[in-house]
Amino acid sequence: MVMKQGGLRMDPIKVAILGYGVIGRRLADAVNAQDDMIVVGVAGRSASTTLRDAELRAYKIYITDSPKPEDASQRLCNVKGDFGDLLKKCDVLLDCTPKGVPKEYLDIYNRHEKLVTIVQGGEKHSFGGVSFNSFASYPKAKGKKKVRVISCSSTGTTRFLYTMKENFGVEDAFVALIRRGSDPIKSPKGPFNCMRPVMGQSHHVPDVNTVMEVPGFSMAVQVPTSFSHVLSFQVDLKREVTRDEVISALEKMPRVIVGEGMHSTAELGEYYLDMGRPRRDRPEIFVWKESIKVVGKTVYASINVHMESITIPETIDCIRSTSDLEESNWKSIYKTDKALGMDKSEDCYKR
Amino acid sequence: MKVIVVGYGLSGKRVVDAVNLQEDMELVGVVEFNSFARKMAEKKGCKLFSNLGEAEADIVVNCTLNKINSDKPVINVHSGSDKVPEPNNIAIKRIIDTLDKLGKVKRVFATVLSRGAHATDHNQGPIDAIQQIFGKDPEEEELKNLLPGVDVFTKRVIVSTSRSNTQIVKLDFENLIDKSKAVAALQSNNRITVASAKDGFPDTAHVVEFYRDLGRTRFDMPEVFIWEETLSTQSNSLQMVLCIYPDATSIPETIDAIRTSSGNKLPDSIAKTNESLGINGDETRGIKNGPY
Repeated sequence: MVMKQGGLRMDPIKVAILGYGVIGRRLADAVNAQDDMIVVGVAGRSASTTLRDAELRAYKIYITDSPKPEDASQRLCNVKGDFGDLLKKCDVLLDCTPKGVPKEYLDIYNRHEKLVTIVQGGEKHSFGGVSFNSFASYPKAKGKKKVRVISCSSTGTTRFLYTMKENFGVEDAFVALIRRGSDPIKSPKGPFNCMRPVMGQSHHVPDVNTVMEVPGFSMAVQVPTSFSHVLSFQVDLKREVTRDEVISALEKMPRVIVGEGMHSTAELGEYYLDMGRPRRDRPEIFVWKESIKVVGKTVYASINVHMESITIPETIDCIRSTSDLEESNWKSIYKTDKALGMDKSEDCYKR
Repeated sequence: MKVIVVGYGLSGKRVVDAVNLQEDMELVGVVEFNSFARKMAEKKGCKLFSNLGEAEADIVVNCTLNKINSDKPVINVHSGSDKVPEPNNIAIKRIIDTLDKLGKVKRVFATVLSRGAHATDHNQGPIDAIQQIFGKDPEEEELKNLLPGVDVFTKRVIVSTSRSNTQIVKLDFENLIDKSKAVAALQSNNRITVASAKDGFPDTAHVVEFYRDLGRTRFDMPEVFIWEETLSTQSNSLQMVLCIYPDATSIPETIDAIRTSSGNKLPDSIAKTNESLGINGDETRGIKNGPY
């Protein structure tokens, strides 16, 4: 039983996960770590071996298509039912399928009136007309049935620009993104040994603008690496600042790490591996302290986005907002961060 | 002009070929110690020397990473004084100089993605990472010196890829810039190519492949390649993504440096160099030029 703000006792929110891929498996564990929500099941295609991975972590397995005897789910899992069965049991569905796939389930989702569906950043804002970021747009998701959490790099960009905007005001921002070609587990749909620019403005600042008003422009190049993204910022602020002020503002912001001594994305990944983070995940953005430079009213900085994990805490907060479980975004953010072991000191959350 | 080249590596071998194509230059020979490189130089018909003193030359082109001593004028390609600028900087300088007639640039923000290594460098990396460069970057300092009065900031990283570099560049002008005028101006400079991704250039590998099919020696691209779809204006800013093949980018400027050291004027040299190296126009638009 959990206490909702206002004193109404509620059972934990029942969360189901569709797609136990890079994001799905992390969300399952993150939901599991919270005291006000539980995972009621994980669904996927019958042939998918990821269902075996999910069952190994004690999640209940459901399949979305007709099984064949040689399928992994039939050979390796204890299937509890089909997707329809799972949807009947849950309050919130986290759709973690590849880009474009959630659309195929819209009819099914629409049939469940009370169901809340949360999708990731591969989907467009038009999926539900509501986009989500914990810092900038939390209240907008309250009571909504279809919400998308903005993409990994858009989330990273939002956190950095939010910090700049809240503390100093932003006149204009330019972000150059150097993006990893492919997640470690995937076959390269990204470049193998070349660089691929986005031919025009990239989707990042426009995505940020679905959750926060800030003038800016983004350009991106994909490169052959698997670890993480590097984002290079030029932010023109509304007033002159000192480098110390910028560092201090970032250090006080939740979900932001200001670090030094890491020379590459590989070194950074290895550090969090050694620190014992599950899957070497780092949902916080990492700001390279050495890269922070101030010239008059302009801040330059480069940050690292670990694309596999950055949207996990945002999605947890999104569950709370849509379920009207918590009114204050900072209270939810603190709760999520504490449960995931990434919290800063409590006064960082008193905003 | 009698020219001697020191070092027959990635840049040395190209400088040698370029000098041989100049009517007003004569390659005296090459100074090189590495046995494999010496064999290659010999195969290509170069006279080999063990030290500078052995050769009669008017000018020395140093294509090694080391400092060399000589009583003759020395043009350094990689380090030292009288240095040909770094390829990444040559790219920016060409673009800014070309756009000068449209307006004055007051600020440059370049995010530079440098390749990890040439494929033959087996000791270089990274294999899978984006590596940061912190502290004073001599390449940024050099660009600042090339653009006096301009606020220059570059963020350079090393990426696990070979062959090409790319840059995400934002230029802030003192006035509004018209995109079509900017494209026209850039296309008018033979050392810059503005091409459309939809014409077969979705990534740097396709750019490389295009020049490979064209039959150029070593499929070099000394031109700066800009993707037209990435060129856009935002109030007084112009941004773009460009790519260069760093081993070839500075060769024309090196030839110009040799020629101007003996008193020739730069604009004449640029035309002469372009003509001799077949940098005669944008082949990506289907116009074939150059000596094949």
